[in-house]
Amino acid sequence: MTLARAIAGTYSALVLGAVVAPALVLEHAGDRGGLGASDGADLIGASMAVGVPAAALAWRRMRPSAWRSGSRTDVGIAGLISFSVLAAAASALPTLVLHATTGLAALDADSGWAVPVVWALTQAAAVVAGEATHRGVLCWLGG
Amino acid sequence: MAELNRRQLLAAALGAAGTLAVGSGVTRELWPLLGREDLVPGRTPQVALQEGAWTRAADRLTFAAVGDTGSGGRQAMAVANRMAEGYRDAPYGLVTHLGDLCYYGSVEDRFDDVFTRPMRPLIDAGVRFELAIGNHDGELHHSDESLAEIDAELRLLGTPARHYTSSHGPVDFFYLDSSTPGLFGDDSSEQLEWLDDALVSSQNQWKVVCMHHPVYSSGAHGSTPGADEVLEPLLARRKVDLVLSGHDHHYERTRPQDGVTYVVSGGGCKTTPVGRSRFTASAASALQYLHVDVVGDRMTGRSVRADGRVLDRFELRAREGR
Repeated sequence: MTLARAIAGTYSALVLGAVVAPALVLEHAGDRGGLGASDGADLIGASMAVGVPAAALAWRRMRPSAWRSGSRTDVGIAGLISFSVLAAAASALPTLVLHATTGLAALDADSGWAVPVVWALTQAAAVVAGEATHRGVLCWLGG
Repeated sequence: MAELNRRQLLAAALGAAGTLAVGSGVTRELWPLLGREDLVPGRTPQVALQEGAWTRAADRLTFAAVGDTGSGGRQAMAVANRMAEGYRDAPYGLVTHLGDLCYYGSVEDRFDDVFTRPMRPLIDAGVRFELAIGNHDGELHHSDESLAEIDAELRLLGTPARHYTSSHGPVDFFYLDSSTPGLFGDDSSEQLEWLDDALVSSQNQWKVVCMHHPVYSSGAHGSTPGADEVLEPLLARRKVDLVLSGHDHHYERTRPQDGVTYVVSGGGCKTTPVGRSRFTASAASALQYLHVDVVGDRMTGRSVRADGRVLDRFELRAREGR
């Protein structure tokens, strides 16, 4: 039981890390270049707002009781695949959307909230994609 | 250990391979891309500046030099904001833009985002902008599209030609189009002859050459191939004081090379790593611009980081023997 809890906890932490890491990368790049310390805080906040619930969802999926209710192997495999989908999408979707909207000048940065909201929405989409993948893989393996 | 059925085996293999591929792709490609580019839109600088506050005198000039500002992103806005703060502290009437005015699209579509919005306080204060064409203002080897892009930039910024001179107080500026196949290549003679004539006929105390591609750089792009053979001897022979360039996204100042000091001031919105070479006097990978004061025969330069920290300070004396 302790091992199962440790695995679920580590998995949740990895999910949180995958969601928050892109914002930390941006913060680090700005910091290295000489931006003020607070310049990346809004994106880190937005990522935390998405990442914490995502980590809680991940815990629910991987917690020991979930392992008992289904096949432990199936849950582990679904967790692995859904994590790779989530990790890729959590970095790729904001990058793609920012690149597209930079060219189109579609984001109203002066409003202060538009950029973190768009950032959070793209990462939320990544979490949804990870969750859907997890369920889809479980369903496929169970069938 | 439980035996895996065929479906589980396939899914496990896919999961393991996917995780490895994603780990590699994200950490080697996406995160460096995010860190290198300036994709997050930034807020317009909100600094109110006094119009025309700089000193006008025959023996004095204060100007700013910045390159590679063309993202319109958060980092570009931070540098532009620092330039406005720099104006407030020590007003200047001229910005020499060292190229790469526009990334991620055409300048016709993005001019407001990459220039008007970030530079609004300086534009409103009446500061003049002069542009040295960069490679993102048209590819190194010109296509019809890139030539149209260059023409659009020249028109939007009111720049008279692809290479030209301007005179401000005690300083003559010489702007080169280093993206033309020709400055360093087979067709170099036309622009080099023009530069030679212009330098010879220059009577001012200071000669400053502005171009996008650096003659000397210890950064990602490095020193421009061929520049040491075709351009450097001319700059030395005509006793140019200072050569300003961008292209590499860092700050670097050389020790005088045959009397000429070379500065890369390309940290206008992105940063790339910079090392040190035998010619390096000062170097930093930073978001920055260069603030230059000329008083008589003394020129003082400060490389100012986006947060206001001074990265480098140097002083030059006007070269003798003209």
